[in-house]
Amino acid sequence: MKKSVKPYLLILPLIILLIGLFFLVQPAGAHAAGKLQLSAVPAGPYQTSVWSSPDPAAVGELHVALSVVSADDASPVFDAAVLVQMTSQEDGTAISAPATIEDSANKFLYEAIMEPADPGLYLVTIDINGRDGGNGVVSFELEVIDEPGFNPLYLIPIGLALAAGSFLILSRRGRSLKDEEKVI
Amino acid sequence: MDPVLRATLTSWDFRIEVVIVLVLAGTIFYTGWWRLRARTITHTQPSPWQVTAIWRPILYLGALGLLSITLMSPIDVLSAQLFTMHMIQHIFLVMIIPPLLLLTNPFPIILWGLPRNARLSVGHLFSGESHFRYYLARLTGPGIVWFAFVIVYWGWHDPNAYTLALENSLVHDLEHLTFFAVAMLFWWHVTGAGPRIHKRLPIFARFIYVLAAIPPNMLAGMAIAFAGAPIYSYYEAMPRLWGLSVMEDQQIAGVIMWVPGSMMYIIAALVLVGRYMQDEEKNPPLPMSAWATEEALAAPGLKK
Repeated sequence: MKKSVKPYLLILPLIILLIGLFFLVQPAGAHAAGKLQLSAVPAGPYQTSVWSSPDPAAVGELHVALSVVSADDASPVFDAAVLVQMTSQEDGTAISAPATIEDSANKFLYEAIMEPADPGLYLVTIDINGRDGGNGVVSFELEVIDEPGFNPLYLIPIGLALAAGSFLILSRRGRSLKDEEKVI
Repeated sequence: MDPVLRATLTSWDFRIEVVIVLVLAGTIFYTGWWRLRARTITHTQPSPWQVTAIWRPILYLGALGLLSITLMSPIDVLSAQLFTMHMIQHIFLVMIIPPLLLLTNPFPIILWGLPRNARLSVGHLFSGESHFRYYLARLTGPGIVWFAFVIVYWGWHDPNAYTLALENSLVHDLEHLTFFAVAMLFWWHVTGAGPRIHKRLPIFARFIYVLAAIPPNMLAGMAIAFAGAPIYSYYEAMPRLWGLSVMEDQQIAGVIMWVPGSMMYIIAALVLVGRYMQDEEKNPPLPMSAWATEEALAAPGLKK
């Protein structure tokens, strides 16, 4: 009977599809808040915590997520106007974007999508303005690298897929050898 | 509506990669079930346990729906904010959804949902002389699976691993995948679902096997519930909800892991006991001469 490896190739595209799905995972805030930058720091009448994602921060898309709560009773504040500004410490250029609850999957957090074009050290300033007139400003430094490079964590699903594929192929080969031995 | 309640109910995270996988899994299953149903000769009294019974696709697709809610609803989004929510998510991923999926015995049905060449190919892998079947059976034996189950469960609750999963989406997905994978392997042995490549465990062995999962789960839950300080500092920066402090949230999460978590295994054990007693009822009763004599009543089971 003519042997064909084609049926086994049907399994390999599935493995490749599953690997590809990992790369579809949104790189930032929606699924995980990211790296904690500021933890429960006072900002006028408010208290805020700030996260950034991805980690390390790289040129391109950067998500800054923050919580705003009342300093009095720690209740979440949902109607503040929040502005995030990144000022390069190299040449002074600045980019800014509003942080909104609508941009965040977690409706208790505000999220801004920044796009730093150049690597270097940035001063990230967050300006919080409450509807009741309250105002608070916090800041932190953030190092933005040039290229994120290959994330070593991707080696885990790739390695698992390669191990599964090798296991399949070697099992098939072992069975083929056994059939040949029977003929001899 | 209360703004906190509104924020809770509207925190959804639609993820296309999750939707693709679940739709694919559901489509293949339903296709296989439909094909088997078309090939099945209808008996006058069909058995409720036959592979083409209607409850199988209903339960399977329902479990996939529950999985989508677990991975994309506020249960998932707020798991980074409340330890309690994270624990609820894990209960679903480890103790509820896998047994629901495996109760439908999905393997033969999914096999029939594949294209013919793929079905034959996968079938060959699991045939009697296949090396793949041999090594897979060795790698997924009950003892190894139980050990892997405990290691994965405890490992991801290590503070460093847990925090990394909260900070990084890829690690978070890996956490969920490994939880789900080891849970499927664990419940595979308990339910006796296909592919049946292992020596079938007797019901009493499965009873012991499922009860053996309670101590590690209980220990972890109690350690979390009775800890004197926050174990996962990540939650300290998150806005607190419903007046729950970090410690209260941690205690509730620990109790959820300890009590309802252990209850799931006890329920499974009770189901196995019920199955055993049902099987015993089907056995013909022993003749009175085998048990009603004075010797047999004085020393049951003792043979002359």
